[in-house]
Amino acid sequence: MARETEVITGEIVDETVKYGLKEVCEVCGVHAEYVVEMVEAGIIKPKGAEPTTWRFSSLSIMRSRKALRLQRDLDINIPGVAVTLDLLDELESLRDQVKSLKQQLEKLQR
Amino acid sequence: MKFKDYYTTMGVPEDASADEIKKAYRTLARRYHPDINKDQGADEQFKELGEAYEVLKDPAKRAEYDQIRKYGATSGGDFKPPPGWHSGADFSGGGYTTADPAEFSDFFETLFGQRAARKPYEGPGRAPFAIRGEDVHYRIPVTLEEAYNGSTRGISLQTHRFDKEGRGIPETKTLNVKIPKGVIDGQKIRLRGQGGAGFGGAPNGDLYLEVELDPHPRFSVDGRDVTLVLPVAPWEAALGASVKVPTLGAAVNLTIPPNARAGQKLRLKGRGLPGKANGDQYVVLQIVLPPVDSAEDRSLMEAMRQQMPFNPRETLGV
Repeated sequence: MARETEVITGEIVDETVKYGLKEVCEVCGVHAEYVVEMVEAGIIKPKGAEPTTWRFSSLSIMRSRKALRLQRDLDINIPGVAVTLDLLDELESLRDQVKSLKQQLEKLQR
Repeated sequence: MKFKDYYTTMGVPEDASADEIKKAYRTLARRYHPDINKDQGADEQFKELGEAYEVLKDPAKRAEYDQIRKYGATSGGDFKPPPGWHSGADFSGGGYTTADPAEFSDFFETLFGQRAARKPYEGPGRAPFAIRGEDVHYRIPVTLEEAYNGSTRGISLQTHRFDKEGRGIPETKTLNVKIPKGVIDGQKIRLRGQGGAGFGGAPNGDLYLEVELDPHPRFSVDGRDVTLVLPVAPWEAALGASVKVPTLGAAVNLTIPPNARAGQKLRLKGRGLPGKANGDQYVVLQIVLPPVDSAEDRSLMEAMRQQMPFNPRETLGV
């Protein structure tokens, strides 16, 4: 069922901040208090001094959604989610390093 | 329809207590959660687990299921519900949502009905039956050339929409997606509203595409930086030389300093993947010996041996 032919341009998920608190709440389907809790736990780090001036990146939005899924599916509290996300980040970066080192090694051994 | 043995799925005996079932669920959910387990198939196992738990955690559902299970003969065999089967229990839907109920199996729906499948979506702080669609995550393989130049890619994905009765109907969506120039391995592209369908007027979820860079025959990649192993002749390394080096763009000339060592790393600034700050290209020198075939070649090597006393194993103490 190929219905769409136009080319869709996505948004690269990165640290560029462009979303306000309201948008984060909408995308995640949560109350502002919940986002404040996530910020306090260091799960997401907005720019700006207070909630009304907070600006979030698309990376924060993705992270919030992930945090919500983990909390909902595994029944872990916010500090637990924060630790889990940090460890998952570390795991991912180590996997990347291993992948890149393996590639280099292969080329040197040829 | 295949019979599903929820006890096997959860790895618990059929006389397991509610506590044992909960424990088994938590252990397996941690192992197969798609945000944690990146293996293929983990996603599927997590869904099966969610469905099994949805039934076994609820005493009324479980009693009904046990009855069916006795009737339903062998696990994995062909299954038809008993004539006139109708589920009497109402779905509690309490606690937290497990899997995406729109994707519960036909087996589940035959036994417990569609409404039951949908119910767990309701939760505190959410208006009933207006739920934003799930985010969909997909990995797309991208070549290094595509990452360097940018490209447009057709992708098709399995998702679902809801009909008027709220039934999830599977559908295949085909999208043409722009892969922006300078994407790097592991980077995600967010396509707003292209994920799972929202329910009851709520917006769709987002589609996240994770860039998976294909291994390249020449270049190895680390973020925006690329590395190339460059073979050089012994005299190029010894005397210095200007040699042609392939890059992601056009080839460039690289100056090799005299007395270069094997494994030495040279940097071509800004020749990596493009970005706010371009990546660099690193060139690792590999000294390659020419084949020594003729008598003349051998006498040249012999002359080197006479003239250049050299112990390459000095650091090994031998």
